[in-house]
Amino acid sequence: MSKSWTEYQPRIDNIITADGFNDEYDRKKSTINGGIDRTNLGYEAIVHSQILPNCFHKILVQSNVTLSTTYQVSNAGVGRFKCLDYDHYTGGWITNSTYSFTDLKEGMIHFEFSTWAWKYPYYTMTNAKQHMWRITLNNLVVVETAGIFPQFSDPIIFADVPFSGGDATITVDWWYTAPSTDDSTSGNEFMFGGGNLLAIAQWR
Amino acid sequence: MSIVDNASAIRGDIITTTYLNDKFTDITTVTTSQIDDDNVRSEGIDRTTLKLNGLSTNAGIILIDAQQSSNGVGPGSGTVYANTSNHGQQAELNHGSGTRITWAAGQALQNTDLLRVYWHVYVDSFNAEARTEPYRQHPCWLVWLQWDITSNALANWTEVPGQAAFNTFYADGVAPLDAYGSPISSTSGTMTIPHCTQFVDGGVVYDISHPNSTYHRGYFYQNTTGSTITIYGLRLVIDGLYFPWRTATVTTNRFIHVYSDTVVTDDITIAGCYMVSVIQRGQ
Repeated sequence: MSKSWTEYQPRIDNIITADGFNDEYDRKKSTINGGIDRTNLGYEAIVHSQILPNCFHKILVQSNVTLSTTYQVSNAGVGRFKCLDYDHYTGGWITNSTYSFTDLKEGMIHFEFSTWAWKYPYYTMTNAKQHMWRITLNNLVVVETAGIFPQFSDPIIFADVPFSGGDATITVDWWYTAPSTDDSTSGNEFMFGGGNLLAIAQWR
Repeated sequence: MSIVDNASAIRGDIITTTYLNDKFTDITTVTTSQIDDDNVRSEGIDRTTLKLNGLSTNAGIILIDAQQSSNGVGPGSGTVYANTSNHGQQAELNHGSGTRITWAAGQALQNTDLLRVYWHVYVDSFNAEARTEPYRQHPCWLVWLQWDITSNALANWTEVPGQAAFNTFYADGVAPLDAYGSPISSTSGTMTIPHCTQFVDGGVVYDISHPNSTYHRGYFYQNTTGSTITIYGLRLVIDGLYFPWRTATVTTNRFIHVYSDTVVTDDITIAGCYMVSVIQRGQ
């Protein structure tokens, strides 16, 4: 607490001494030079323009996240997207997008991810087509969906995780059903786009 | 530099008016619009010193504005949107009042401010026709976000940044001819509603209408950079039916609406539309 009490108040006819003067003057200097706190500041005295950028939080926004062009490869037929095919994918998790989120302080990170997705449900009676999503933070999975089956879907993914500070690497990953012996290697399988990623790191 | 660095008195100094005034002037200078992190002690600021707003806990400091709209008319009483040839003329999702978010005096989105929009739509029912043509498979309705950043007359709706209007005319020369749509590279404010699901097992094609009484959700974020944008309204629009599309020669992925596809018995009934917007400081 740095409320400044009166140390020296000369009365009429007092002789002002250096020590007396310094007691009061040094007290005021001490408060002003790094001692100001809520006992000195007025109620609601601080407005946004006086606050240092990123002193409470930091955000990361990515729009129009789309299937990596590495997997926009299918060539079969019209009336489909040029998208994933089984000639280039045989199963497992794929990291589609990687983002750097740096200079973070200790606290919590809130994630939101949404997108539209399409798949072609071919041979679904023998090898049901589904896909999944996950978000990782510095190689740690923070949220993972269950299998999504509808032909068109708009999944919404949320996560809130503690973070100890420093730099973060965030990925958006997807998984798709591996091919069966019935599936064509050149069919149009899976596409997504319009993905929106929001990460808010809020300091403790 | 906002530190008071005027020296203290030394025994033997003659204290004159000038001497005293120099010291107090130094304090006056530092404490007049100069207080900064050199003056405030560690953890010296807390909630009571922040200028709050009676409507929200951190208005102006982090949260700037929050709005919501709500319009639901209940199952069986919604608005029917039909698949017609009038594509490129999307219809507003509207069941009367309450489906837009508006700011009569405009709301500023300053540099680094973040706009977050969340919505969900209640679909009451579908009427779906079976389809066999390759280009009429995998149909969906597209719902997307528009805003008005012109005036509170709300007469100039445009797509939000990163969002296409799905009304570009394509004459690809490949069946089907004449289609409207847009590349999928600009769909950040788009939500899809599947009209029906078609799957193939071996050589057998199955068409299944999408279930009735379902909710569909979409999100959108706008991180403002550069000049201030003043927003007056947000609304959702719908158009359909659209199909995934590319050809052997035109490999850009698109959503298209086939001009000649006018099976008007394909329609969707929407009985609820709910939207929330949050504007916050981005840093």
